[in-house]
Amino acid sequence: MRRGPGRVGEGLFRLALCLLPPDLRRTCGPAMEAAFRDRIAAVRARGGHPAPVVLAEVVDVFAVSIRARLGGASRPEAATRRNRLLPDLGADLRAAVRTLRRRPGYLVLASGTLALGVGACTAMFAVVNGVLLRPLAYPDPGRLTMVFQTLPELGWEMGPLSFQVFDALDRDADAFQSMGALTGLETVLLGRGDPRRVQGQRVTGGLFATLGIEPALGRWILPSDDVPGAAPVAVLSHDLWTTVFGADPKAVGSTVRLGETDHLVVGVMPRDFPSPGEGDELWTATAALRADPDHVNLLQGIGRLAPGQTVASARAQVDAVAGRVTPGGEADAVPRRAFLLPRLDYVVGGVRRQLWLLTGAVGLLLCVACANVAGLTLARGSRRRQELAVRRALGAGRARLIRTLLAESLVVATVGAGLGVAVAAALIGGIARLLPGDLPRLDGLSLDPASLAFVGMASLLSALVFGGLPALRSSRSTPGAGLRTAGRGGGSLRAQVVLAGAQVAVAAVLLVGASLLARSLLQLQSVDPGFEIEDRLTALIPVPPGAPEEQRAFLEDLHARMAAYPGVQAVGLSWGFPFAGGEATTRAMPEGASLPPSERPSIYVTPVSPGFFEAMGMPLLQGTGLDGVAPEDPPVAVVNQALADALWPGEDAVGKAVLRGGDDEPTLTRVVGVVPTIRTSALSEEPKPYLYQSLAQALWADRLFVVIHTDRDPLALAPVLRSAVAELDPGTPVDRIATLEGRVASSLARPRFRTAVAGVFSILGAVLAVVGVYGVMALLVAGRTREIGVRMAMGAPGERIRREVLREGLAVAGTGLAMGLVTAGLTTGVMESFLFGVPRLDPITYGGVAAVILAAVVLAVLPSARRASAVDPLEALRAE
Amino acid sequence: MPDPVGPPPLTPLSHAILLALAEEDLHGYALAQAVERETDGAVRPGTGTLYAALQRLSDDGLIADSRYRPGPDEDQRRKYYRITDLGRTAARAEATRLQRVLGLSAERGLLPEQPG
Repeated sequence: MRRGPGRVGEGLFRLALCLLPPDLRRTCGPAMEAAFRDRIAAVRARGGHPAPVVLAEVVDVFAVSIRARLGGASRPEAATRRNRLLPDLGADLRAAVRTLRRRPGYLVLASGTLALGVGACTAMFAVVNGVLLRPLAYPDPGRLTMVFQTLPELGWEMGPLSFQVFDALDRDADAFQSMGALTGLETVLLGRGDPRRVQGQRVTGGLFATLGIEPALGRWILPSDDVPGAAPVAVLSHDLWTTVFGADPKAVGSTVRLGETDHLVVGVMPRDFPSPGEGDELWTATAALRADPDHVNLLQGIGRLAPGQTVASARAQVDAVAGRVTPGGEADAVPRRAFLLPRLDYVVGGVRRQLWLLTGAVGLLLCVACANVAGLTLARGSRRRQELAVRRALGAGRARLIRTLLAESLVVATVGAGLGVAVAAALIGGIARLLPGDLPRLDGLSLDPASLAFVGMASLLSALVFGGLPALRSSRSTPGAGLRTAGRGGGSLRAQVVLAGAQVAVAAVLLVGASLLARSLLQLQSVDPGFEIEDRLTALIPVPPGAPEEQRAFLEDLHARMAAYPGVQAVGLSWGFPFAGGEATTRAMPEGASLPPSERPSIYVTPVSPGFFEAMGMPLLQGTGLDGVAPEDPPVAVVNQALADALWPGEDAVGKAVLRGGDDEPTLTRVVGVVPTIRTSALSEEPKPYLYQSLAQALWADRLFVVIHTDRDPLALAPVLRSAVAELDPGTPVDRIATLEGRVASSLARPRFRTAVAGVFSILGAVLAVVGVYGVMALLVAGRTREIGVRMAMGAPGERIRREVLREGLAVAGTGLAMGLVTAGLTTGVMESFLFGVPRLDPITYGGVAAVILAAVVLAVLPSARRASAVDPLEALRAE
Repeated sequence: MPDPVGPPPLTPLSHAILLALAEEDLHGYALAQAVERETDGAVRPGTGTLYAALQRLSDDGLIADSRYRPGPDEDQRRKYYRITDLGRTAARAEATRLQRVLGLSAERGLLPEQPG
């Protein structure tokens, strides 16, 4: 956060220096950069935010460049002008406000346009700043990399590390200054009010040194805490410390019970600690897992590169070290290969492209807004040419005129910036509300000083450059020429027409993109997930620790209690659950086939209880269900249609057997039934092959999903479920209660967000384009007042004039529209992966966009057409 | 070379720069701080304004590049300035002018009351 604006600020300052006269820039440029840096450093040392200083410095350079360019006359004169400039600025601004208020149309349009463009840009800047530029609030984040190993037997390119590989890397890979690893932890916190499910990470002793963040209180988990036999310790998040421990400093040193083990609280992390896992509440050591041979390949490694090392050099070393480790006990041990990925890429990799796409769209929008301001200023300038020429003839210097016009631009910029802040705040609020929960690192999203400085700078630059250049141009003409050609557009008009056309094209591209996304969303919403979503309650229940028989008794009791409750139709339990995850993957082949492990199809496995298919509304297509299967029976399973089709195409799957798992310990499972294929992680997904094992025959999970079908309000069952669980085991919390309908709907959060953002920006683009067309048509008509007057004096009917103007407007817009649609057709390929059920060249979408834009253009042109046909011939001729 | 008519009055900023450099050679930001300090914050030039003034003073020969070079742990882009003899003359002329202003002010009772 502290670094960002500094670097951005220096860049802006350097950019501003380009405006200085070349000799000053040559002799003093570098020294000025040094002085700027000194000043920012001084502000920081005082604890201030650099953004306002950056803004002031850039404005100062601006003022100097303008003064320097207006100067160039003999010295004493220049000196007096310098002395006069600042006092005059106030007068100029007051005059500008008066002028603008007389004809507020320009002010409203120009500052409104600016506000839209700048506001959208600022909102996007805040998001990009929050997600891309600021995501790793660790010291020197560029040196953090994620470490993975390949797990060929599971088909994973980026698999988690085993303790063996991690220890070898930690010991031997000197490309890292330090290394740490973590693995997810879900447990129950007891003895502080109600039992509370908490999530966090088990971490190795080196992780915190690697991340480089100090705890707010106490200490961090040290290597000495992470050896077998060490006393269990826990570090709390700031949130957990505040909510559960009442922010009591004495929490450090106290004991908490996590699951079955007492842990000594040794530290509290700072509030803004960016935990490597989202939403982590506490951290414990990995020591307890090391002793258990079942826990293999579960560590997520993070390394801090040693000075002088690059990702490429470290990658080679890590690969070599990992290659020397042979997985214990496996005869056909495949040598391990390790893989590095810079942490930033890992954290934001998935959304980076979307964000840059959005940024591109917003940048385009800002360009359109700037073009509009330029266009409006040109239009106004050409209407005012006569006034300026008169003032010039009366002795006003060119510098004086430019100052007048610049002062007007400054007013427009200020109003635009103020409105822009409002637009940005509204957009950021909207974005934050719409955000899908899984977009990483948006917790810090707000309109911060850096963003505000960005608004200020962006409006000032666009108003001064895009308002100032036309001003320079308008002031250039000699008095005579100005008076003669009063009111005529000249060459600038052609540029204006091209600009307006281009804006329509941009708007068409944005609208096509947004409409395609909207149609995809509609299509997604109408997808049948394959199971019933209404009247179902789901929740996650931890299975209390104990012997398998006790656990089975707990689940059977719970099942029976819930099934007996009035209104309940069916109850099911399962490991994995649609739109919640939890399935395992493995490789499988039909019995009798001989395929090497890597060529066997990958399938999903989840154990389910009797009643699960009924509760989900998944009818058995063939065979029987899993009711009455006993643990000691030969393994049986129900498969979905996709799996049956994949393993036994065209045959009857019931009665066949499937071989799954590795070659060392294959399990032969007999298929006893087939159910329909359902969507399990996204409505847009391809059908996935599933094998539903009997829960009775599965290894015990430490948590299960429950689904209850009722004919009453499903959420009314939540307290019933809670009390049923509490009666069976008071220490077990019920978590993640949701209706099945809600669970499926939340899977649409991302597409909905995408569509909303694209929709807002495309509407902004369309509004800007309409303003642009309005501006150019107004300019066109204003420039032809005399000609129209003459024609009307000769008897041309107003109706014909009106139609002619309308036709011209539509010609401009139509050309732009055609170009926009072609561009959209060529470029929507980049968003193909976001589309669902809509071809990217969907004729309905393109046709609809064309119709909407043409209708909007007609509305934009009508005022000018009306004004043209209302020209009073006498007035028009007399005006010359 | 003093002009027979006398040089035009120095701007407050130019004068403050000459005053600061009369004490020691300084680089840009240190100079900005000195100017701000010595004018009680009345003159607070931005970097652009400061260097535009420095360039002008340098063009007029009132100041020049210092022989002092940035130390090894300093930003090498820093540029030190020194006052020239002509600069001292101009500063002196400005002081003379101000003295006259002060004298006239005293005559007409426009000086602030001296405490004590």
